[in-house]
Amino acid sequence: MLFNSVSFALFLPVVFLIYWFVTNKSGLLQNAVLLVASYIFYACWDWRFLFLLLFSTLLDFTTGIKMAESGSEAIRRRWFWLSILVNLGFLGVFKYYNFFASSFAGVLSRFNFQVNPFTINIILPVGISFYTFHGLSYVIDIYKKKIIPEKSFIDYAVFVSFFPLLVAGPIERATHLLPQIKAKRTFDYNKATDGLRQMLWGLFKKIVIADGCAAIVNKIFDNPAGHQGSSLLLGAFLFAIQIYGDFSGYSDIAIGAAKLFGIDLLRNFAFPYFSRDIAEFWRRWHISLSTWFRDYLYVPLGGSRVSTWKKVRNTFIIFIVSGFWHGANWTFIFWGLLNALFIMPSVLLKTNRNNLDIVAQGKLFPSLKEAFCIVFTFGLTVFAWIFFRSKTLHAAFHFIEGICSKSLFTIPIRDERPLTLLCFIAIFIIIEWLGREHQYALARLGFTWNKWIRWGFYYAIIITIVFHKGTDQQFIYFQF
Amino acid sequence: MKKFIVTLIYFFFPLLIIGTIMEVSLRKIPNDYAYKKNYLDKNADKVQVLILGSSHTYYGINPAYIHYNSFNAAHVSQTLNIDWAILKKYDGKWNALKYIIIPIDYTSLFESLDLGVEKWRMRDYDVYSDISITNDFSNHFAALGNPKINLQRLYGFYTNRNYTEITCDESGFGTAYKYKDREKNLDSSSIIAAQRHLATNDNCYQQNISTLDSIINFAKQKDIKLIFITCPAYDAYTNLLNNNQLTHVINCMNNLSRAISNVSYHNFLKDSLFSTNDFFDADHLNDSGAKKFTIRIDSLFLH
Repeated sequence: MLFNSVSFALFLPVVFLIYWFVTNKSGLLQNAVLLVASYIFYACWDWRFLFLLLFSTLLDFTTGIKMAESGSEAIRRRWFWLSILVNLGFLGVFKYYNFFASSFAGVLSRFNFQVNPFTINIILPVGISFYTFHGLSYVIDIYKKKIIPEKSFIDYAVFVSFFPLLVAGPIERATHLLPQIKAKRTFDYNKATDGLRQMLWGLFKKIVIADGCAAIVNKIFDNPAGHQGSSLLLGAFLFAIQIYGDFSGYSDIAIGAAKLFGIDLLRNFAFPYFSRDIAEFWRRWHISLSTWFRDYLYVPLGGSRVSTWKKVRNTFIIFIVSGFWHGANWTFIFWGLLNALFIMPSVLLKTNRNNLDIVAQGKLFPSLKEAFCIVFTFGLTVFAWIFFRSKTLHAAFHFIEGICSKSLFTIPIRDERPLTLLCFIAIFIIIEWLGREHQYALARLGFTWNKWIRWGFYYAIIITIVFHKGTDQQFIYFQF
Repeated sequence: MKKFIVTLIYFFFPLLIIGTIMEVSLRKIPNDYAYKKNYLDKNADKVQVLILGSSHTYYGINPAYIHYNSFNAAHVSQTLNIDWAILKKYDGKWNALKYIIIPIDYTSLFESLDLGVEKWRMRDYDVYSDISITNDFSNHFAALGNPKINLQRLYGFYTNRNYTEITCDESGFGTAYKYKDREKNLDSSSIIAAQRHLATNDNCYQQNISTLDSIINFAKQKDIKLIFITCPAYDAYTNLLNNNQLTHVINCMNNLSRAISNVSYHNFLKDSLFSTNDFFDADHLNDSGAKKFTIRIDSLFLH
């Protein structure tokens, strides 16, 4: 059940009405409704993997309680590692086994040992990377005695499987989400309308911008040799827009849908393409994952309060692991490595926390220096996205080679509707720029307008979604 | 909460009204799908020869030249699972049915409309033919189809008296090629068609074989003769076809016809009876080609 499908458009109001009209008297009943709805939502993808989700939930829930009940440090540690190994084991089998098996066979073949690796033909359970990370953060926080274990299985299960965030995040923390789940929610008109507005903007980003780019991007990346340098550059640019529209659009819909149920999820994107350097970009892109890695990997490794050499090592580790989290392919690892290289100057020069504020705050336009920094940072991310999108490293290098050819100075692909698409992208960027000081672009836009003009604006977005939708594409991050 | 619901109703009311008007108006536009459904609803018990399949038979077999009471229930890109759905839909009504003709062409065993690039047609089957293959709830609503095309259809139908979406005659035979110029360059269109028809995976193969089994059992139980055919195609096109894929299809159908008594298979792909003038494009017959082909098909029946 995709967020941009008719099924979801029917599912959401039904759950909403039951939640607020039938079970609004008790927090327990509210959670029971959310849990059943979340499991139905997940079963619509593939009901068989529901058992995996249930098992993972039960394991982490039990681990939390056993660790708290145990008087001995050794037993606590044993439960902790059991949970970590099983969780990472599931990820390893479903997501990474084939990659390791074929990579190992590839290495052996270089030494003239021909082996046929045993690979498993299995589909990746949707959302496994996300709900595994939910569970891991919960278990680690209990082990470190930052939180006490949850006693109610229903509350914990809702924390892991709350349907808006189940398949592609944001990756939540027990400290943030569990207290909200434990409390009975009361309806808040402003929060609900804000949620709808955020969902509308998310749908626009996904259906008009991301799906609109997808057709051209697919055409170019599927056959880079058949395109001129200018088209390849356009393809790389459009992919950068596509992945932002796709994933931040998804996040907006998820956060907006959660608001309808009175729940605030973590922010996942903060206008990353207006960043002035790569460090700022990574504070603004997929925030819930970046902070997860920061808190559970970077900080335990010593973080930035160590020697320069160790700081460099930690930075490379976190980016390579982050790349690997995205998928079992060398392209993702290289993408992570590249980002580590991009951020390295600011790590070494200790300028990585230079841009903590919002660019051109309170002003309509950025300064020339800011504009240059934004364009330069965006250029670096576009370059890295080429590796992210390509099927192999070889293909990525060929793609870049194609861009750096004489044909860069030709007229790019004249597809069915690139001009219309570029107009929409321009409008999209303007709206995002105007809303950059808020949680999402539409959060405050039009608040001073007359109600009918504001509604007209929302209708215009709906009409644009209906009439200019791109080809149906699954959300990119569902594959992770 | 009350304020929220009231605001929502106010906000969505105009959209709901527009959507409902569009849905009702779109459903009133006569088209092939609705025509064929209405015809079979009324006359399935009188049909003696039923022609199923894709555009190859839709434009290629004209019931006017068949001596039995025949109906062409084929349609553009119609795949085996829809043929089977049509047969099932009127189960119990096929009282007079003697022959079923189903084309098994180069791609037939490797495609399924609901999974292909023309899956948007599934909505037409859902809305107008009352045939539902997928679980996609949105396919039940005409208004949720391509909005630009919907607007064009509405504008065409409600502003132009001569507007029609029915492109078949009374017997279900496709007449669109009668009024169109034939493809100017058959050789170049052959290259494009052959590329398009190359099976890129065999995901649908097992499902199609099992559908064939179901159709065969269905026909056997009702003592109906099942005639599988491979339709004629232009030389340049047939020469470009992948030999493995083609041989696989032909062998599969020959084996079936040898093994099962009520099944026969006839391969007209490279039949010398058809010349360049008989083709509309690389893999479709034109009107005169269809006449020749139908007479040939008619000779297969026991009169």
